Amino acid sequence: MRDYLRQLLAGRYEVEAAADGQQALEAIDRHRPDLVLADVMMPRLDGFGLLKALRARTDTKELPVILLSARAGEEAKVEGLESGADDYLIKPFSARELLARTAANLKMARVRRHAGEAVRESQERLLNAIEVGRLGVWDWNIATGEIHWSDEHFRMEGYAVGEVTPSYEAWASRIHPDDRAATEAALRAAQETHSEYVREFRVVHPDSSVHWLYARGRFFYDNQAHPIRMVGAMIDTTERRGWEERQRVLVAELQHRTRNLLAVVRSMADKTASNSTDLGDFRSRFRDRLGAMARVQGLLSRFNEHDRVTFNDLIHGEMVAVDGGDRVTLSGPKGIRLRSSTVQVLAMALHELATNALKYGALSQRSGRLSVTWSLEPCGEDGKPWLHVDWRERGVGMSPGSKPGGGGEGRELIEQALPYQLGAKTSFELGSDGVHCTISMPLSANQKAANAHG
Amino acid sequence: MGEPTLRGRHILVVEDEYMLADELSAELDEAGAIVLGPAGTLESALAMIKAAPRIDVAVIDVNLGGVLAYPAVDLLIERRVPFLFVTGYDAAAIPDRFANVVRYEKPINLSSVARAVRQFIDT
Repeated sequence: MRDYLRQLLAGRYEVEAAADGQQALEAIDRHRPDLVLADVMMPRLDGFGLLKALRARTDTKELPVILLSARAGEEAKVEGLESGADDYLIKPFSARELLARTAANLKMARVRRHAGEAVRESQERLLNAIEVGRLGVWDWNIATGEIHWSDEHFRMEGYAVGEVTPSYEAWASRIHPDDRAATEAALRAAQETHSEYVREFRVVHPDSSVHWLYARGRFFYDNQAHPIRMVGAMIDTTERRGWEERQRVLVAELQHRTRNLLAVVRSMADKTASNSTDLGDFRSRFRDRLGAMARVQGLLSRFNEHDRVTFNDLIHGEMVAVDGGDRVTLSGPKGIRLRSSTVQVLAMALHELATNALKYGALSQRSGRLSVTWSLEPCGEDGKPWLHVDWRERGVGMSPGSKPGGGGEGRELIEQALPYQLGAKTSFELGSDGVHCTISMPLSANQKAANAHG
Repeated sequence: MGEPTLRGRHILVVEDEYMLADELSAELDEAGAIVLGPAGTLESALAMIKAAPRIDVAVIDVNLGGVLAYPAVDLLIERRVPFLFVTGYDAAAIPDRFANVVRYEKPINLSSVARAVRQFIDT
C-alpha cells in the first residue's frame, strides 16, 4: 500500500513514507510536509493518534491530513472528520480520486494559509498604526459590559497594561472630577441620539499628573434600537493643549506690546509736535524718531526668549543710522544682554543723543569726536550685573547761537525716563567742548550665557 | 482739558512706560489733581500705597515691565481705594476676579480716563 501510494504520487510530489505514526511524527519534525496521507490502521501510533498529536501542536495544527481507511460507512467517515481530519478516503479508492483529493486539499490548505497570512498582516498593520499613532482604542460590548482596551488605552488613563479589567468604571474613575459629569453626559447623549461621541476631557493619573484626551466613538444598535456595542479611539492632546496655551499667552503679549507701542508713538508725536517750529520741522523729527523705533522693533523681532538684544547691537544700529564715520569710536564688550522691556527706551535715549550730536554736537563739525565706551560690572548694586555707558563728545566748538545740548527731549529721556523705567543712574553735562553723558543700568541676572554666545 | 475738575484730588498713577506715565500725570495735574507717583514698578507702587495717607483713585497699568500689578491691586482693595485699569491686554487676559474693573485700552483717551476718575470720586 505504501509503495503503491508512493508510486502514484511521486510523479507530482515529493513523497516521504513512514511505517507508522511514530515514524511519521519524526519525519514531520525533520521536514515539514505540505500534506499528510495516513492510514488509520498502523502499529505503535495509529492514524487517529497521529492526527491527535499533530492537532495538539501549534506548528502542525493546520497541516492538512487525509485519513485512509478500510472502514466503510457513514459512521467511520464522520468519526474521521470529527477527529480533525481534512478528508477521509475509503479503501479501495481509485488513483484518480486519491490524486484529485490530494490536489484539492493542498489547494485548500494554500488558500487557508494565504487568507491567514493576509489577516495576520492586516491585523499587524492595524496594531502598528494603533501603536505608532498612539491611539487608545476601546470596544465595548454593552450587553455584557465587557470592554477591550488597546495597550495605549491603559497607559492613557494611567494604568499599567492589564493592571485592571477594562470597565466603564475603570474609565470613568480616572476622569478629572471637574470633567467627569459632562463627559459621562456626552456619552449618554451620543447613545440616546444615535450620534457620534466626540469629547475632549482631562484624566488624572495616580501620580496626580493631568492629561488631556480627545475621544471619538460610535454606538451600534440592534434592530430594536438597543445599543449593543460601542467602539472608539482616543488620542492624547496634552501637548497640543500646551501649545495652544502658549499661543494664547503670546497673542495676549503681542496685543499688549502693540497697544503700548501705539500709545508711546502717540505720546512721542504729541511731544514732537509741541517742540516743533512748523509742520516741516515736525515731519522730519517725527520720521526720524519713528525710524529709530522701527529699528528697535526690527532687533527685537530677531531675538527670542533665549537670545536677547545686546548693547552692541543697539549702539551699532544707531551709529550706522547717523553715519558718523571715523569721528566715532565705539569700544566695549560684545554680548551684554538687555531685557526686551528695556530696549525700546534705551534705544530712544541713544537715538536722541546721536541726533543731537549730528545736529549740534560732535558729528556736526569736522573737528568733533565722539567716543562711546561701555563695560559690564558683573556684580554691582543689589547683586545684579550693571552696564555702564560713557558717551563723550569732544572738540565741539561753541559758535554763538548753537545749542549743543539739543532740545530738552534727549535730556529728559536721559535724566528722567531711564531712571524711571530702567532704574538707571544717569548724568548729562554740557562741557566746554561737548556733551558728556553717563548711563548705568541694572541688567537681567544671567549674563554668563550671553558672553558664551558672544 | 477745560476747567480743572479734579482739584485737590489725590490720584495714584502706576505705569511703567515713562512717556505714558508722564503724559497721564501731566494731564491729571492740568485738571487740578495731586498726582501721586507715578510708580513704574510693582515695588514702588506697593510702597506708595502703603505710605500715602490719602489716595482718592488709582490708575493702574496691569503690566509693569513684565511683572503683573495685581498685588498692588489687592492692596488697594484692602484699603478700599477705587481704581481703574489702563492696559494693552484684551479683556480675556485679565483674571476673572477683576472682570468688572473699569478698563481703558491703550492708547487711552486721556479725557475719558479723567472723566472716569471724576465719576469714581463723585459716587
